[in-house]
Amino acid sequence: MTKPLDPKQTDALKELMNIGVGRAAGMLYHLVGSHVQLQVPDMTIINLGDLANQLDELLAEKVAAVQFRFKGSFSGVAELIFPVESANKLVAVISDEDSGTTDLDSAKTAALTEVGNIVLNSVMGTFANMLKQHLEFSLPIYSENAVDFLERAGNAGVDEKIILAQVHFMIRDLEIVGDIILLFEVGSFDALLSHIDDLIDELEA
Amino acid sequence: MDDNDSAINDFAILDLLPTGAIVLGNDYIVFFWNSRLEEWTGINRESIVGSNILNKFPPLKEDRFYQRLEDVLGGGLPVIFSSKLHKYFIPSPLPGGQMRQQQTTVMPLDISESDGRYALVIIEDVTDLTKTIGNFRAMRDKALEEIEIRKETEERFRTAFNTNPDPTTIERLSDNIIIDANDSFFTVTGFNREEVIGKSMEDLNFLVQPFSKNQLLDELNKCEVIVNRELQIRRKDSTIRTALTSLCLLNIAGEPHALTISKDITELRETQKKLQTSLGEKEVLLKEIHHRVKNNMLTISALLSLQAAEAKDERITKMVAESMNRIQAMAMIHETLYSTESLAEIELGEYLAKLCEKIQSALVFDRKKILLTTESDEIKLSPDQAIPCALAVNELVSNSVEHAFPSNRSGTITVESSLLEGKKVKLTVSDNGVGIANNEDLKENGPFLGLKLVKSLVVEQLNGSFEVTRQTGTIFNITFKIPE
Repeated sequence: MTKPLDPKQTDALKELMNIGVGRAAGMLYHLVGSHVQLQVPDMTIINLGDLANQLDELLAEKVAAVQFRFKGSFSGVAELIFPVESANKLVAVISDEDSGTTDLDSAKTAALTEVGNIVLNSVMGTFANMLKQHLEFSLPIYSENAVDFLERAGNAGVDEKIILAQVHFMIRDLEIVGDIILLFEVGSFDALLSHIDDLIDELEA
Repeated sequence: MDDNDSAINDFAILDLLPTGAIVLGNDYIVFFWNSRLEEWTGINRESIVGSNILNKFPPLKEDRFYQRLEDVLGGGLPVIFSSKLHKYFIPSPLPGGQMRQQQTTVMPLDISESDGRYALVIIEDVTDLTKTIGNFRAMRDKALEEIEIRKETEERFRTAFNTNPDPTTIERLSDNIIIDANDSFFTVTGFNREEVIGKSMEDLNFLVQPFSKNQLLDELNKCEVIVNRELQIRRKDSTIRTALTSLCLLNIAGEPHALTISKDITELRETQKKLQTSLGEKEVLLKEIHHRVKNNMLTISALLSLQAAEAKDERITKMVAESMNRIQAMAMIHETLYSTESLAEIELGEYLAKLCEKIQSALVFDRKKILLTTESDEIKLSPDQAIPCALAVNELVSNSVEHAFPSNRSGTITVESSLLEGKKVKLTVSDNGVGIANNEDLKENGPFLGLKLVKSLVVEQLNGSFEVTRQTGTIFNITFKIPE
């Protein structure tokens, strides 16, 4: 069992997450051509076993998810997940066209994959850079089945830790809410925490 | 150049890809440019390898590309440039001039012998895919629109079905099962929904003559719509109602169904029956009245005849005889009325023939001497117009009989009636006798009174006109209009 996080560790994690989405907002600005704001007002760290409860609401509806694996001194899966309707709106506002119907076709899912790619890259890139860790990343894939992700993750054991962060996109008066899920394999979360402790020490020194 | 050559050999496998592929160094120098890209851009490998790609394609210096390329070349994560957000990465026109749409993935590449950082750029041509998606979207939008329209139509049908005040059912023709019925059906028949849905009308013992309904359904299969047929139906409480039924063939999920709308006309039929009875009674009564009037007139005529027999003065006898003729002419109208189907109308030609027959038998003793003929179009008159006509013709024919053929002359009297345009009736009484005297003479002689009577009948009662022409014999023309 991992011991609970101390406030410094929590703050540092939140900070990393915010720096990450901040970078993503900058990237999205160049893509959309208008101001994009990304915020992570809420971040929780839970056991994998509790994820289903946390995501109940989200899992009740059809979802659109972009995910990739990361491997290095800490390993796991990063995923950005939206209700399909929100995903559709997000693509519409980014590609500046009428969202029309609520279903996603492959052109739209490719665009959504790019958005996920930007957000998750920024977040994971920030983690890697700030913690001075070299990570390898798989190519992002699009999926409409978050359960599949859970099951796959579930095979690794319920003690695995998850960072669950709600992310708010504000683009052209439209607010869209999605979730960033970072699943850490057994032992990886502890590795992450030790790197965070190193960072805290370095900053305090 | 040696480096480049070895790089080309190392990456030659990328020529096999169906996609465009570029290997970039961290200084944006092109290490490899695959044959697909040569084909797409017309830029051959030799001319681009070793060059800075940002200088070759300046749009890549824009932030939306550059920042993220920097990340990859800095050893970061793979990046994706979707066709929807970027259209293309390396501009390459299609034969039509349109730009190839591209989905581009850029990933860091580890080359073990090398110190520098590299990136592999894979460019997928998604033009056709995008077009297919566009077509699919248009098709889907159209389908959705059609579904919407169908939904609306269905909604409208549903509302019409449910709120129709007449009992309405939908039966499946394959087994005559009722699949739906509206509220009015339940109200009128007394059955409830559970008792009706899933059953046939036969199950409900609903039809007094099930055969007639089955015949209707068979007929419906051929002609699709049947309007206003009368059926007897049995309600839940066993009372029988009369329904005016219309059926229409419906196609539901590819199966033929009958939409049946029935109007309960039981009360209407009962009222009609009552009316019929009361009309019949009225008819009998009217006939009786006409019969009595005729009998009374004949009695008056007989009484006058008795009185005339007592009179010594020949002038009085003649006057009474004339009056009797007039009374009998009127009595004949009533006789005609009660003996024909219609109590309200007289067929003029038929009547005139009878009248002339009568005058002839009364006044002309030798038929061979004076011939009376009638000719008529079919003209129907109300008693109000038939009586003045009868009296006028009676007068004119009597006159002719009496005055046109003196000294045993023989001749013909013709009565013609014809229907002219605008519902006008022309009545002509003509003879080929000696010809009537002029007005001055008329005053002195007999027929004047008769003609005065005719004139007053025509002008005052028929609102018509009357003229006398003298040629060979005399022609009397009466014209009047039948009111609308």
